[in-house]
Amino acid sequence: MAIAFGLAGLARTGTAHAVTCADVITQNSLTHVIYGAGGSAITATLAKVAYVLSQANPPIIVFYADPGAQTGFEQFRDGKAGTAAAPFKYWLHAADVTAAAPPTCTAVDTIVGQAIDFGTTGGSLSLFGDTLPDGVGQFTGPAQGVNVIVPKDSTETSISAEALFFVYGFGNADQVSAAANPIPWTDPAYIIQRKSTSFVQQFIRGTVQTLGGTAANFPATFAGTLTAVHASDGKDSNQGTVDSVVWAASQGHAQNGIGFTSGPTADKNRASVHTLAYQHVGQNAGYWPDSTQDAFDKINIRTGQYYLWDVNLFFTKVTGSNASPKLDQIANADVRNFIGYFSGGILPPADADVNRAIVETGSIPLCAMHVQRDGDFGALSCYAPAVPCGCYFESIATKTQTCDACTSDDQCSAGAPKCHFGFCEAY
Amino acid sequence: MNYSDLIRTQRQRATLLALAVGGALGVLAACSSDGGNSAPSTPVITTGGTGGAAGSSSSSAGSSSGGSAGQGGTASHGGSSSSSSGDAGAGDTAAGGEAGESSGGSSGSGGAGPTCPTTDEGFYNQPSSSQKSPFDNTARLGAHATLPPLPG
Repeated sequence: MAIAFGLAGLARTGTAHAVTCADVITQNSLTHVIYGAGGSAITATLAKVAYVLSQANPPIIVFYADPGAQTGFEQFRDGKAGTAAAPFKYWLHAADVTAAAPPTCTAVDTIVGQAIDFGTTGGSLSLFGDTLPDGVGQFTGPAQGVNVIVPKDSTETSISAEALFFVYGFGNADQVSAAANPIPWTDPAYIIQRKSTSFVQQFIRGTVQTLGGTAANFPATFAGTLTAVHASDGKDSNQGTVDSVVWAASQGHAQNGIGFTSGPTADKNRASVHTLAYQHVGQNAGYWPDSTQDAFDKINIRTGQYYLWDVNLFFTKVTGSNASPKLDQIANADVRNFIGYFSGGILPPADADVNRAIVETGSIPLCAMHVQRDGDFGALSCYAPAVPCGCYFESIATKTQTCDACTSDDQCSAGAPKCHFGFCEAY
Repeated sequence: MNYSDLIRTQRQRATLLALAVGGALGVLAACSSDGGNSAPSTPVITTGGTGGAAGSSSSSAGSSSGGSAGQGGTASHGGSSSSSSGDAGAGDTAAGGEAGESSGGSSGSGGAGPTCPTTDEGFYNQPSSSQKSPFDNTARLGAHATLPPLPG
């Protein structure tokens, strides 16, 4: 009996080498700490923002677990994040942001986990059939693309919605052998898929389902190999998809490798993979997220010409009604500021250029968008942000200044009379 | 057209428009969900170009085609702002100090400008100088271009 209790106790506290976040906080004398969980689509962006905020005065220290959008949201909802299986990541040093594996820590109870302050997903809760819990508010963050990627050495340049239906529904060469120029993505060993609870997989599935007819019931389980099989860390993640596609190339199958990942992850790995132009049903050509394969301007997401994009959503407890909540309904000031920086509703402090961090990692602040979408796959409509930042966005994303710089309106011309974020904008 | 020119052209297109200023950041999910494209909730921004040579296309390599007629932007009325604890201000990054908070007031209900596409296909196929790469479903998928039943 004593042995049984001892084993149970050991299991609940995890391995002897597990580092708890409580230890990290104590050892580094950290204050203004917040915890979150969600998908890995935003991890690259969140990592850089978290580092920037860790250096601000006062700081905000973010511990973030990214087991996938659905799982992460449910961990937030249920108060069970930071387990040994999906520990919190954190970024206190610049090197942590670029590291292949940032430092991690766990809840004290590594089996059950702990309550956290916010959840975040790449798209809406309806993607996985969930609804907003009572007392939880939803806030809109930056937009980002979903990229279909192939190894750098692949000669393929585009894919269509119909081809996604085939690749992830069949993955069988016999089915396309009669085609004049058959697609090369027919070997499930090199067709890479995320797990069904990930945002990017749910988004690709929903995209295929927009074809209607036979595709309307496109399943959650895709043809292909799970990302975790070839991921460098053995985990299912957006970066794992890149690892897997690179692995396909290493096996002499650059032409056969294909996967899908978040836009920021694809951008971070352009040296080893390239994004395919995507052609949606009813579209006369495939387009890249950017104006060219090699650009970083995200112009085709911002104008609605590239279909595969969505907005990050943030979830946290709010006071009062959670219908159309305002930021000041978030009681925790650090959580309120953190989410407000992402939504654009709160200006970051001067010593923390959060917008730059968001842009540099391939995400798109709403102030740089020209379109909005009714839900994950709904109708597009034109959108003009109250305070546009398109010029600022492009100056960071493309490292090219295409607008007049300014510090006040009187330095701008009639064609672009308003000075926002250091540049003359149209209004 | 080099890349700088390309970006400059995009910027010129975007700056053809609109005067009105909405209030706080618009809420993306502000539109109706009846399947149609709703009127823009904020002033219209267009992406139309000012003409360019028609481009060629290829199914195996990207090519760039010029945009068609230029499209002037139209200002519609902006939305109201309901800042609750400070003003987010005009967004100067050098503003410093305490960050103001904008609570995201409801977006304006501006009417659709004549240059804003009214269908999703209108957005997908709007004039663009971006590089493009057509995907030929019939050539690449054969019979699967018609979406056969999924395997059981």
